[in-house]
Amino acid sequence: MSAMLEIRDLKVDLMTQRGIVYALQGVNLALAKGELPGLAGGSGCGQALTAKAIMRLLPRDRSRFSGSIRFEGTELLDAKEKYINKLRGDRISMIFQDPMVSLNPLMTIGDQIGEIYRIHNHVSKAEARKRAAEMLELVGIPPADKRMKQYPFELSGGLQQRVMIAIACACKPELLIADEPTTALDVTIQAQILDLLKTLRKELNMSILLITHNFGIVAEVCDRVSVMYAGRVIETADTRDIFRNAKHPYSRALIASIPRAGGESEYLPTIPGAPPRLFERINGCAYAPRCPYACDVCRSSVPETNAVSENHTAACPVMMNDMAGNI
Amino acid sequence: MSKYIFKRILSLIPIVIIVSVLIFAMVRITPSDPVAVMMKGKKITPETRASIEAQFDLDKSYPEQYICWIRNIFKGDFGTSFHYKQPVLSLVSSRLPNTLQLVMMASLLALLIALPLGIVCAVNMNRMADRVLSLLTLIFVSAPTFLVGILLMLGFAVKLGWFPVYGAGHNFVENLHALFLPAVALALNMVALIARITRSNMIEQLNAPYAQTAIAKGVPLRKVVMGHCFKNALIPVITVTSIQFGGMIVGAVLVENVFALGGVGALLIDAIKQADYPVTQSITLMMVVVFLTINLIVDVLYAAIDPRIRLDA
Ligand code: SF4
Repeated sequence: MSAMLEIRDLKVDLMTQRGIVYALQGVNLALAKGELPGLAGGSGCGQALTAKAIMRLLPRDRSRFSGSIRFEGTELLDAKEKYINKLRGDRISMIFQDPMVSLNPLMTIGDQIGEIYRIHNHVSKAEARKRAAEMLELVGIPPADKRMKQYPFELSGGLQQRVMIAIACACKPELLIADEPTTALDVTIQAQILDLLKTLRKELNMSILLITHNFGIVAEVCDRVSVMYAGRVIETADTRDIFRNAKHPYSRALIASIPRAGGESEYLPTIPGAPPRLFERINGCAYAPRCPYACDVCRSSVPETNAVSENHTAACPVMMNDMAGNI
Repeated sequence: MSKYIFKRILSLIPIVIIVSVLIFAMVRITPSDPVAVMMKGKKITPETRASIEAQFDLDKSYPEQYICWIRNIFKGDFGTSFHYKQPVLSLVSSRLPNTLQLVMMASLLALLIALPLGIVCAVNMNRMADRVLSLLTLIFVSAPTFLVGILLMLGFAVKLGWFPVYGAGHNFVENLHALFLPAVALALNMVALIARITRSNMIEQLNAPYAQTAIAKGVPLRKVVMGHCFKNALIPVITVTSIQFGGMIVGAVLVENVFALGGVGALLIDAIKQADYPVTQSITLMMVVVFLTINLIVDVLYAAIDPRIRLDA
């Protein structure tokens, strides 16, 4: 499998008013052409930040980077701004959690879709408008000629997210990063948006990196999943594998907390505690304070990521060595 | 859009009526005696007083006086000044256009300076350029306008002779030249506030999620700033500018005095001191109409900028 996107030991420090946050502490991630992997984990665990680092959306004067992000062989971390601007929107696109605020309120839908096409293809306004209409049809918001003239506030959240997708896909990107694309939407709309993403992936032959905190969504759409905790990837596996044989206790906890429609009880197991706020580099397993299996080994050094099976890696020595018996 | 404007104009009519009553009442409530002022404090017989009061309609009841005032306005007569013994309209018409042009030029200049300043500061937030420019604008705002006026006059009019030292021109075009220095003096004062509002709103807009979307689309920063964020930051800027514009019509007095322009503000202040009822009430009413017109223009601008306002109306 030749990777289209390869992230190696990515570290990001953010300078905030309350001090330096060691937000990403060595992320490893690879993504091949046409894949649809998930990047799962609770909020503040670094998935969104990883995405922003790929898109180079982090403020350069308030963050520090090390490691490597390669896209089709080119290093992005120190690439020229001009190169990045050509890449963004054209070859790598991104959609965001809250479409309501992610669209420019003063610009028509048609203009917002047309803009991206014009920037990257240097075409006339009329041609851009034609492309915008095509995209509106493609993401399922007819009638295009009426929609083009509408403003974001005239559309529902679901339609707004479709517009976001139309924008992101207007230039047929190779990679689409979807940052919690359905979190702000109703459940029924969620499914429609996920279906749309699945269809577009096939039609446009693109890879999608789907960021979510919801393992139910992973089960529904992703081929593979990487689970993040406290700025690291702690487990990566095929979707089927992780549901059957998750190693890391955090992955297990996330799987256990999938909301089930029509479940017997309203009770949802939640994980006690919260992810650490990363004001220092944690020496040892970051999950230890919340982990039922934590022992001295866990606190002495950062757990290494090791292979469980062919496409399955995890960073928890305790569970992998079966030291905890058959839990 | 035209329906929206029409509706707004209709809604102004009751406001003007109510305000005219208030103005009329306030002018009468002030504890001053116009007859005494006219006679410069000389002792007069009750007969003389009565004849003067009759001459200026002061013997009539308040409601009668009010109706008389309003009725005459519709005939194009704003009354006759107690003090100058001239029609108010001719007093005002030689001054109001100058004042309005001065204030307009000052506002335009202020915007031309303040908008780029605010944008540059926002884009370079907390960097050197931002700090220096913010400090400069602070100095501008703390410098008294009349002092700036005098300095400008000394430098550019007396020394260099580029502009007339005092007095206004006779028409709009002449005034562009004659009113330039006073306009600059007034503008410098506005610049600080407008620039600061522009800066803070631009910072907010640059950090808004839609700006991030634009960047993620590959839009170059310059176009994100000017093409996306600027329009979104504009509404508060317009609000502040319009408020300052209104305040300056009377507030320009100091500068107008320095440059001997004889504006409408000075006329109003003198009229109040002299209990010159017709001048006071008519100028105040005209001011109100000017304010309401500015407000209307501002509302129309809002609607032109923001579809949420335009399509809601
Ligand atoms: S390394 Fe230890 S603390 Fe960390 S997840 Fe595994 S068992 Fe728990």
